[in-house]
Amino acid sequence: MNVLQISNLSKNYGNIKALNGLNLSIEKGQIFGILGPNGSGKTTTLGIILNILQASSGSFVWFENQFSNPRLKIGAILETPNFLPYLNAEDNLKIVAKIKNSTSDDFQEYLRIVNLDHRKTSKFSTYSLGMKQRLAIAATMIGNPDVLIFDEPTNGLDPQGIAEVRNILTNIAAMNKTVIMASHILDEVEKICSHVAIIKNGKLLASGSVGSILSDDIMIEVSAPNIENLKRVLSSMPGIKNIIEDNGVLQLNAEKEITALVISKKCLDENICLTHLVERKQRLEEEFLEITKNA
Amino acid sequence: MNITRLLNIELLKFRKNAVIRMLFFLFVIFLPIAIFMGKELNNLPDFIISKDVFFVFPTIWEYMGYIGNWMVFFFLGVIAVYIFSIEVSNKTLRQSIINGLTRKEFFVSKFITILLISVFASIYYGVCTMIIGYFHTETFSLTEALNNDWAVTRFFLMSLGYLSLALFLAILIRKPGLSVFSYLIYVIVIEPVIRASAAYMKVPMEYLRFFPANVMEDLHPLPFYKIPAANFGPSTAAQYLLSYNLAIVFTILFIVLFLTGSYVLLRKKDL
Repeated sequence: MNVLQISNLSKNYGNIKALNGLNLSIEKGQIFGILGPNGSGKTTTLGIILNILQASSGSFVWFENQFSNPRLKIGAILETPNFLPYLNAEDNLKIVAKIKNSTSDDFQEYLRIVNLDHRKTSKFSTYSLGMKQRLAIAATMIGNPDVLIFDEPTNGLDPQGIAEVRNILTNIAAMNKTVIMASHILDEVEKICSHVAIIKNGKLLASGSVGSILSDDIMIEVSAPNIENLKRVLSSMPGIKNIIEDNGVLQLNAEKEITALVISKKCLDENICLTHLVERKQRLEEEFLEITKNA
Repeated sequence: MNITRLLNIELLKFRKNAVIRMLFFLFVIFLPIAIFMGKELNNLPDFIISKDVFFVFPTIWEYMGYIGNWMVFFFLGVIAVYIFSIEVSNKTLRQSIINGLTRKEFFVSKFITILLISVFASIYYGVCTMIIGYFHTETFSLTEALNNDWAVTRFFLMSLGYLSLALFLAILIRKPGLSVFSYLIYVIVIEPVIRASAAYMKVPMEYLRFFPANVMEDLHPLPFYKIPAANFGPSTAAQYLLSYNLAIVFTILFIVLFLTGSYVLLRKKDL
């Protein structure tokens, strides 16, 4: 089933085009990452599809128009965790449940999942940022929604908080829900998401499964005592597309038949001893920089 | 739309709020107590024959109403600003919409809150006045006690009027401190200054009575205006005060205007 269809969405703030004719399609079960640099329009997009911002033009359809109020079927956090500071975790969750028209929630269980059950009676204002974010994640589970939306879920957290939140997100993703996540942290998207859309300046640059956005090309790093000699030998080798020298290490962008073994053999034949040899798939980060560079 | 659900949400949100509890508490305490300051007044102007007028039927309705006028304007009006702007400053307005309230539902939840506050305030005014009046009237007669020109209804409209103005300003301005400040300053300073300046420029007084705060005030005005004309000259009351009927009509008009404005703003604006 199509969960969300965004068609030609635009949003102007005065002369600034925050969104410029964005199209996106998200299917049930996808863990969908919206990736883009700061100010690319990620939060604006989420704000519009959650009805808190008005689009300047274009449209979006949730769940193929099956529900009169689709937001009751969606759990979402936008930017910051938003709760009433003078209420405790449970009272804040009760409000969300009332809004969602949901009566069958086990708040204790949600709070246990996000590791807040020991602080459930403390006021929200006494929470650390990490705890606030975790409470927000607990709130998205209320009413057992089909779709979860997270906007920069690890933003501003310390390393331990980031690890905790990622862990929770991975667990939620395993519950067979559709997840839409905006982030500028590639690593996060790469680790969690099944699909990804890359946007910049309010425009879609690329979209598809993480596998399809990640090209088949291999990235190999090599180094040797005589780097100039190594570079000369490798640049004459067929199948190597590009060599970048970075801090005494050569980064080779190569076709997939060029493996570490092939490089190693070639260097042996040329009497070069390698001090460093690593083979890896090209990462989303490099792809992302590549795609957004020219946009 | 399920009104009980919306009311439940508001109760969950504000039941434990210290500021609202305090303002509400102060209203409940001061409305019946303030009139007893009348017993301490000594140098009364000549036209007040005795302190008893503050406490006996039917004039107690006017004095209690005038005290209530200030109490509602201040304590309950600030609550009306607060229940909206606190949701802006904590971004729970956004989150409520994200969680699934429609903007219309959000507006209705605020509207029924100020409606119920107004209903409570006017019933409380009625009950307090009846009790205080009862204990100060030697020969109590229900007919005479209730001979009050629809005082409770006027109190209700006055209250809903102030609270609608407060809600409208909160939605328009959004920043909590600035909203409260604007609301208080508008009623106490801005409107009177506009009216005074216009009067200074020779705009006839009867046209200047139709400003929103003045219209609402005239539902329970300072009772001294109604003291025999001899003290102020025959046309004073008529010149400064609207008749109850006119005040009622224009208050309803302003309530509709402020609520419609609030709804339109809430529907159209980015949150």
